[in-house]
Amino acid sequence: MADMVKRVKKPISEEELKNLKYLTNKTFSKIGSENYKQKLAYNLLNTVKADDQRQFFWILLRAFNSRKDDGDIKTLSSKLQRIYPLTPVDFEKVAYSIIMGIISSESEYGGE
Amino acid sequence: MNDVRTLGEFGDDHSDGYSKRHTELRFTGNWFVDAGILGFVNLMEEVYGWSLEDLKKFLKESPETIYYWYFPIAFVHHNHKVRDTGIQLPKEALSEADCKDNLFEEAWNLICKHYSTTTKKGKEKIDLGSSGPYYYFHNLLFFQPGRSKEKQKEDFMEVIGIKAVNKEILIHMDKTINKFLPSADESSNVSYVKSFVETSNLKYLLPNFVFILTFPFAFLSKDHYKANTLFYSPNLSFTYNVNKRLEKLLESQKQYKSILNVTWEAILDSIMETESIWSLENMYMIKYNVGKNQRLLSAEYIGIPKLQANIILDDTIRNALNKNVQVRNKKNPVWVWLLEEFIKNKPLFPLVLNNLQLRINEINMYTSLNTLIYTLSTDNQIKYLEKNKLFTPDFFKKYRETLFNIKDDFRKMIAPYNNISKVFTRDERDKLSRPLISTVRKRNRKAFTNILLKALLSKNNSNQETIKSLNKYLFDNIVLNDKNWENYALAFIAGLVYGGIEDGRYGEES
Repeated sequence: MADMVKRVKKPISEEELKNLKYLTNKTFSKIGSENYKQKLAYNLLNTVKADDQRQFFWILLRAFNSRKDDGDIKTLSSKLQRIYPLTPVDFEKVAYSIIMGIISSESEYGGE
Repeated sequence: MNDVRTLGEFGDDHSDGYSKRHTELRFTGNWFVDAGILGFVNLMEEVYGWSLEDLKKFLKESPETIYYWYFPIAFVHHNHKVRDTGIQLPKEALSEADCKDNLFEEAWNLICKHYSTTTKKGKEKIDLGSSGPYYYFHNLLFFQPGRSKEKQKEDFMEVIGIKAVNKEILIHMDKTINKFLPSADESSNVSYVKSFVETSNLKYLLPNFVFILTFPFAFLSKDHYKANTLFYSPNLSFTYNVNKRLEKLLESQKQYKSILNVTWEAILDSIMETESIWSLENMYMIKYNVGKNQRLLSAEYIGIPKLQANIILDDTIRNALNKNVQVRNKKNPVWVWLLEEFIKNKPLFPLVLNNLQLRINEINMYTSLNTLIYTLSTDNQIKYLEKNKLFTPDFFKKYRETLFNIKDDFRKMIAPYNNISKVFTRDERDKLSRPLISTVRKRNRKAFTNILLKALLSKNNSNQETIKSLNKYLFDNIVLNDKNWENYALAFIAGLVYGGIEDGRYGEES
């Protein structure tokens, strides 16, 4: 019976994307060096290019692993858990929001 | 004294001379009648050299003299002038006649004296031909070859309103009088009228029917355009001025330009001089061609949409769009006038894309960045309004805000301009613009963002504030913008192509 019920996912809203970017920005101000973040962003961009959602989140979660007790990381992880898996269109937007959050993290929070 | 009149009494204005509304020369709002009024002004100017202001003054002083004396002589003389018969305009002074019948009688005697001819059958008649603009009236009333002088006089008297109208073709006007009207047969399904234009109705608008005879003189006729063209707006002075300018421009132009292109030059010049800016919202280009047997070959009305007219009224936007840009058409680069495309309601985005592609791939030409960005921001708003069709709750609100929104979009689109040149060198900008424009052409937002983000990542030594600002532009206007991200992406590429403070070209006009 449960299989008969189709679950239709709502598209990710603009507000949610802005929030994701903000949270990523805040989180990555505490993670890694500039070079590390640059390399990470490059790798993430390649997964977006290849439409590889699984690989994208695998790389991202591995980056979180070093500070898994941090409150912001917990919030961000739970948000990602809620929206995963994503439609291709939503994945593109979510991925770029996260990558842009990473790229601009240093200037806003003066990361390590 | 009772100022209130019943509707029927309005027709009695002629009884005590011309009423005030009949001595003032102004448009009625009906282009078919107004073209005749403009033709009347043109005829009097060509024959007597009077300007519009002169004619208005004379009509106020003595309308009878103008309509019953000057007009018949002008009409017949002009007919001869067109055919180059060599007859000079009679110099006889106007006698002190104050009755309209006498005025016309004297004018007619003068016409008989100078312009009479004898037919092969020995009949005397006024020589009237149907060359040039008169072909429009081929075989109409006094133009008929077998018409006697007396009959011709009667025709004239009916047209200028001295004699009651008796002829069917003057009572119920149709294609015989004006080629733009349907013939009585064509409108046979309209059972309650014999024609759409009846003299009984027209007399409330006009003092007489001279305007049906002056209709073709309103149109400009230039051989290379192969059509008779009239610019029309509901304001007589504005229409008169624009058509005068248009005539001069057509005569003076060395290379062929589209008639609409030349008309816009005339309109924009006239806007500066007159205060009839409101007329912009109701402009038409009317073209016609009359073939053999007076068949109307083509008639084209070009209305200018209200939205476009509204936008053009803004000096900044108009100046920005009033430019020619080079684009590739099939194999060869051609020049396109942005304002013309805009008035025709054609999308502007492909033109900017094409122009930038041409610049990136082949030609070392320069287009003002202001022009490109205003074109994109205007296109952006037009697209937006088109999506918000009529009957949506905020349509009228958005319609009014369009000008503000275009300028707001412009500010957003021009914002990354300075930062682009701070981050990327000239060579880097050139290299980056090629793949980026390809992604916009393919409408591939993912690829556009990916390429640009990688380029920004490679610049981690640059000022972080600058990178942050470009990043924000990319996020707000490309990633979050599903509706028209292409316009913002193209504005960014325009910044890459034409950017660079060191170039010192910001705001320069092409």
